[in-house]
Amino acid sequence: MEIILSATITLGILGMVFGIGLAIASDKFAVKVDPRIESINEVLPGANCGACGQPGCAGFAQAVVEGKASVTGCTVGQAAVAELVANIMGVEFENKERVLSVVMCHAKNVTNKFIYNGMKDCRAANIISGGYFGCDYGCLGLGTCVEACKFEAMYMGKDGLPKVIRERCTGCGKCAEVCPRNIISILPESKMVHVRCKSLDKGAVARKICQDSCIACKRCEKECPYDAIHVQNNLAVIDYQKCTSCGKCVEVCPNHTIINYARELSSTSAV
Amino acid sequence: MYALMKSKFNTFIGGIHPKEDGKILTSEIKEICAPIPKKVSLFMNQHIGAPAIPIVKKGDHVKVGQLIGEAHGFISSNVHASVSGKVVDVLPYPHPVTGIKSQAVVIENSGEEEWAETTNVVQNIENVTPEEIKQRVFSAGIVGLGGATFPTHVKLAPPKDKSIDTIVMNGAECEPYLTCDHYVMRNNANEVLEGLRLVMKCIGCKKAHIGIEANKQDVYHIFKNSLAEDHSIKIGLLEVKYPQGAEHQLIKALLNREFKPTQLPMEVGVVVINVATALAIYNAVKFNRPLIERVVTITGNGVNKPQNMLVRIGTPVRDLLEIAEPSDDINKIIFGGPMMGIAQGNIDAAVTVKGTGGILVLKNQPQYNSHACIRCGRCVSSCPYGLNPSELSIIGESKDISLALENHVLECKECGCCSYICPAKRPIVHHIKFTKTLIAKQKAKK
Repeated sequence: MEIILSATITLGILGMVFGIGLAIASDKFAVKVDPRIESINEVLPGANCGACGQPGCAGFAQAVVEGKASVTGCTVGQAAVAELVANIMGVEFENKERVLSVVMCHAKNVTNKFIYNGMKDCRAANIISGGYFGCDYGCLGLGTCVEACKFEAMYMGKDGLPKVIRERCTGCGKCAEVCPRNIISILPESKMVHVRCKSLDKGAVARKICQDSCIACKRCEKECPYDAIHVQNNLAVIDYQKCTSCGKCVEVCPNHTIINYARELSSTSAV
Repeated sequence: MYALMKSKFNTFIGGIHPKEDGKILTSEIKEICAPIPKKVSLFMNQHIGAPAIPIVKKGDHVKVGQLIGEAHGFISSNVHASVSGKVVDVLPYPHPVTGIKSQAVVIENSGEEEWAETTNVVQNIENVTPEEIKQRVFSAGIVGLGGATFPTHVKLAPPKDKSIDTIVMNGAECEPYLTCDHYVMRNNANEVLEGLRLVMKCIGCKKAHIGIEANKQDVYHIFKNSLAEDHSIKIGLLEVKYPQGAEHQLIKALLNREFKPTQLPMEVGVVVINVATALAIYNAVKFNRPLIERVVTITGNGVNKPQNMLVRIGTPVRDLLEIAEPSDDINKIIFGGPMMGIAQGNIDAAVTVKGTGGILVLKNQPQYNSHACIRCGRCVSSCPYGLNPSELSIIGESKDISLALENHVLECKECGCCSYICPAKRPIVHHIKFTKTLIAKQKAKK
């Protein structure tokens, strides 16, 4: 009985002494953290994708509080998150339109230049004689963009081209960054008409390589009522500032290079 | 252990030697044919450094040896017309080495073989000054013909704080299959030696070493006879091993001097030139003849008549194949040797460039799949630079740049010994090349 009592009292006193010590230490050596950092971090998606240019979500939260990043900086969270962050910071924010990845290649019946045995990575394939793919500008189809996507918003289609699942895409731009041929563009959601070709070859050459290539016939240029599409270096390029996605160029394009995504989307969720 | 065995000849640690190196196919053939192409495509970037600027335009008439591309910047080189005729186009054309479309001048041969007035003028080389040598080498557009195509006039002008005491002439020709340097040394031994003396005079050093692999004994004796009274130039027989002709390995074997893989030979007072370059220097200084042709080995099991040819720069590969009689089932054409050469994607478009020493035509090349690394360590013992290729290959797959830098990825010269010896058939050099491009991209971003 005596042993139990003395042990209890000793431990009790020790506990009290350490407890008081800890209480004093926690008060004296406390690191002051802006509570806004913690609350911003909580509303962020938490994917740590780095698309904002900061080291992860916590880094972005700190940068916002320190004034180094804009409240709309999180491209993944888009308007919903931006609003929450703006509320925490107590500022107004401008509602930006949601942006999405668009694959600007629709290679059809392109034959390979040679047999490729190397790494399964587009960037690695592109340094071997400029890539094995018949078209020097088109999609190599090894899926480096799909690998880079942190939101499982991309997959390789049966036609060998990457597809974007529009509901899941956050417009973070990782896929566009890793693509060695700059085929993927990040564009506003409402823009529906795209030239799905990047070939700068002359029309006759391009047509021989790929059935769906832009042959620079300039019919779209003549048809456009808004002066939004122009042929530069043998390739039709849309000025998205002027384009209203009316779809008139889609109808005249002889090679079906220009397409209207709105029409495609009615049957499937990924293009 | 093979690497550590004492050899009769000087050499380095590491490296490989294939049992059948294919040199026998072409090394005994003494006659040479010099086809004149109907059409040539001359790239503006046939050298390392800034591309030349084309100074002719569509429709111009050019003569053989006329300047058509002017060097732009210090590390750059002139480009000359290799046939006479009309310029049919100046356009981006797929480059056989980089694979990227680069600017090229296409000339259609009129068949007149009209040489530019300034060329083929015999000049006195006894009293030529170092400055004149440098000037003529520069205007002749000479680049290192061993394959790296570094502009030679830059090599001839080493920085003042580096004292060069020895010139090393590379006659090792360690790449399997290739015999173009062997041919040049055998048939133009005196011209090559004159070229070497011009380089010595230009840089102002008294000593020179010639490195020849032991499988070229005939050339060794030819050189020995011509140098009987000249004691400033020494000849060293080297072990038959790849990459014996690489700068680091050659200098180690001949002079026992070592320097870091990231450094240039001038750090240890050496300038290295290839035998074909020495011949080009001689022709440029003596006859004012620009670099418009070179000896190219056409070989491999895919051609019935493997041989060396004197080929004009920019000749379509199809023309050369016709002479060499290709078999029907060719499935691989490589520019250069099998170790460091570049496989050609589009044979119809491929044309020779200044750095093309060989065209290897192969048939029955098997398809193979690579497997995971089995950690056998053969690549480590074969690496002539003392790196760990197996580790670098695995890092390449995982795309970890900082780890790759820790493992000295930038010291790799992509000689290909590791890929050759790997029993799991891993594309190790491809992994390393890829890592290097990622590093370059990251640097550009910063």
